[in-house]
Amino acid sequence: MGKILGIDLGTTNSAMAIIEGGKPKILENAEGHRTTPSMVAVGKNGERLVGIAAKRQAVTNPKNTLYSIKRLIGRSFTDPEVTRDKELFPFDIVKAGEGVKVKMGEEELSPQEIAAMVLGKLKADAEAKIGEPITEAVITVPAYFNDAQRKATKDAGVIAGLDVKRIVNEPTAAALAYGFDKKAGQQIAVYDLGGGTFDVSVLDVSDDTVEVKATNGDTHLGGDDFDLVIIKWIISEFKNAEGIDLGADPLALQRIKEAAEKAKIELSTASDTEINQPFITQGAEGPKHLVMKITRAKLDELVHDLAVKTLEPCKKALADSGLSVGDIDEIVMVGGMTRMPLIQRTVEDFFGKKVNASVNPDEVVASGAAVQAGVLQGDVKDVLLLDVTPLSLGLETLGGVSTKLIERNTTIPTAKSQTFSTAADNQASVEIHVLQGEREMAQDNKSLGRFILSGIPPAPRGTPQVEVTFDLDANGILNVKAVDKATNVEQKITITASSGLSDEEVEKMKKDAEAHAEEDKKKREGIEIKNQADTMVYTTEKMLSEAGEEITDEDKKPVTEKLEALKAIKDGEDLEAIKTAADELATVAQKVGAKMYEAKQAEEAAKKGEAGEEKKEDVQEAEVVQEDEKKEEKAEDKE
Amino acid sequence: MKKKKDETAVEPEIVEEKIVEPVVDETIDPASCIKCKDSEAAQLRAIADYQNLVRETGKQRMEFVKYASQGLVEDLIPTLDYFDAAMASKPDLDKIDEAARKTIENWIVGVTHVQKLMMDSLEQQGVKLVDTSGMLDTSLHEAVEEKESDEAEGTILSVVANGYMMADKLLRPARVIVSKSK
Repeated sequence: MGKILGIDLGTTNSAMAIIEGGKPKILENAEGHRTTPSMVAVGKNGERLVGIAAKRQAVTNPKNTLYSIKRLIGRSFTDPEVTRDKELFPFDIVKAGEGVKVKMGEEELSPQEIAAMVLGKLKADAEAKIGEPITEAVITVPAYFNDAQRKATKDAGVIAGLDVKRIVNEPTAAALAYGFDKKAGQQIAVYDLGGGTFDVSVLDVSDDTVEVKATNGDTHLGGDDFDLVIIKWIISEFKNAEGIDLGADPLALQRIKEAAEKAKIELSTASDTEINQPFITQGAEGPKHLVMKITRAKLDELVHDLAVKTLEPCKKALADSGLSVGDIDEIVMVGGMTRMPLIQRTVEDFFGKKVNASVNPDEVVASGAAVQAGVLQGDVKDVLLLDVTPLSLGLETLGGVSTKLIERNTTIPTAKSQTFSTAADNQASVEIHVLQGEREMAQDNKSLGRFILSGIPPAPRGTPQVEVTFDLDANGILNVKAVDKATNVEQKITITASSGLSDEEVEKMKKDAEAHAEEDKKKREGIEIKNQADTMVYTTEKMLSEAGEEITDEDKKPVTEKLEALKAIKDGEDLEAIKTAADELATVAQKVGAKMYEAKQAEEAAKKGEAGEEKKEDVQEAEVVQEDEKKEEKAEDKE
Repeated sequence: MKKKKDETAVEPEIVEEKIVEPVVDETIDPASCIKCKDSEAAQLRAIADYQNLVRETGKQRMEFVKYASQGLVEDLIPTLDYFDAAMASKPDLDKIDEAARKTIENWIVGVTHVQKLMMDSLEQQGVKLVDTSGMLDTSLHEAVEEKESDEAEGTILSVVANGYMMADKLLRPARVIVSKSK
């Protein structure tokens, strides 16, 4: 079964989403945008354009660029909304039987056919995005849509090649996106202030249904009206200051429109903003610049009446549903305009409680449609919530450091492996000390258990490969296994969830880790510097002893000097000095190492004629590196 | 100093394994078990979603590398517009007296260089100007005005604001004035 597409078929803009990993995900269209203008056109050359392409040529082709078709779909020709829109739309609306058709180019198309073009683009773009065919959809409609309008919307889907599994009310979809369909016995208000329309609905949630009890609104009130107020103010301010009417200049007007929208958006988070449009127009004495400041307070003052206008429908909807303001349990915000602090405050003051605006208000309806689609798909009955491990799990490594294998907040079940090695030559066993917590030092974390893997064949330090695997199952049971890759000898331990920390202890652990983060970091860095110094000493001594007569005393001298210098201080506390000494030793040791390598190469070139094995280079590196970083383990004495 | 481990002295400590065996109901026939089927389907879907996510993430990473500076360039576009507008309203040198003319001319030359350097930098990031010769193409251009002219209908007459592309992605369509038949 393929994915069912959730579609918000909006008046001005449409959006689509699918369920992925149990969560709704908005799909971008072919142009890379998360919303698609609900617009179609036929170009001068007869080419059909849908979405943003139609919008971009609207100015040159007003009669054949169709928009806001949602206002016509499923309505009769005598419907007052149709009569009103006939006057406003630049394109021609004609009677067709009882219903309407719209002229586009040479054709007369029904609103269903026009909506189908938009749906068709969404379908095609979605298929391209997810790489599989889509034949089914859930489409949302306003709660006030009657049977004819719902059927017409479904027909539009069929024309576009979609089997419409469900027509869902927009406010219901918004509630689904928040999971409020689970809140049986509660009343939800949905406040939807979009680009061109305002809708408010009251929903009643019962065990198995979400019922729309009342709906009200204003079909010609939206974000565009708010923008218009700002634009008018900018134009009048400029006229007062410069005596020029920018409204008469279509190109300047376009820039002002964008500036107004940008300012409106910025004032949702900032308390003031600057409108800065240099060279906005040519005056008599030269170019003019539009530079003005606008504060949030000013914006609120300008649009105050519009905000208050939305409350009347809210009152009516409540009255029709027989509820009072106090009966509303949750308020859901839909539509970009609801991001404005003034709107949120107005609604919160009216209902006397905080609004829900955490889901992107432009995408919440499409997300809800996808949630419905997911439920219909059936294979994700309930959103499966997996646990996460609250604290990191790891083990103790050289120097008493805690090395994490599984980071906190990792979704479980999960498994992670890492390869470790020995700290001393011929070390025959390693101790795995399992730790839980965020601190850098093992002693500051919770010890969950320890075990020893022995029987490691003799080898220089850093050579053996011990693979440690942490396997945490869905119930929080941790299995730790250590395997010596050379012998396949393994040892393991099982730690049940109860041997970990309680919820309070977890919280305390996290806070402690934050509080001590700085000093823990320093401690850990200090230990790493010391470890590296130790390794440096070890590898250099090894190199010198193996080199024997290959390097002259003269070459050896600087190396032994630096070596003694480092050995003298490496167990002390002056980390700066240790690091410097280690670096200096590394520099001189490298020179000698390079010489040895060259000598060997020369030797081999001389021996070239002989058959036989190539001598393996005994190149000592300070750190032995594997795919994962190899760290060294300290073997502890067990008493 | 690290002590050498005494190989024989230590017993490996083995903790009692507390692994719980899943309870298998012998009476259920796996073939007809609906719950098993649902479980299997959910598992497959989870694996599929995961694989899709890996693929999608890989794609996104490639996209990110390709379009890493996209956000910055998009933010810059209004400023590029203003720069163009500024250069389009250079002072009329004929109206300026001799003495000041050379100074202003020189200043204009300098600022023109600055604009060129800025565009060069953007080109290095893979930014290109949209081609505005020919007819209106809604995948690249946005018509902001129509004007009557002798040119064929739909011909681009002038550019109000440049369009910008990054690799093969349109960042902002060119805003153009288009010919209308008389």
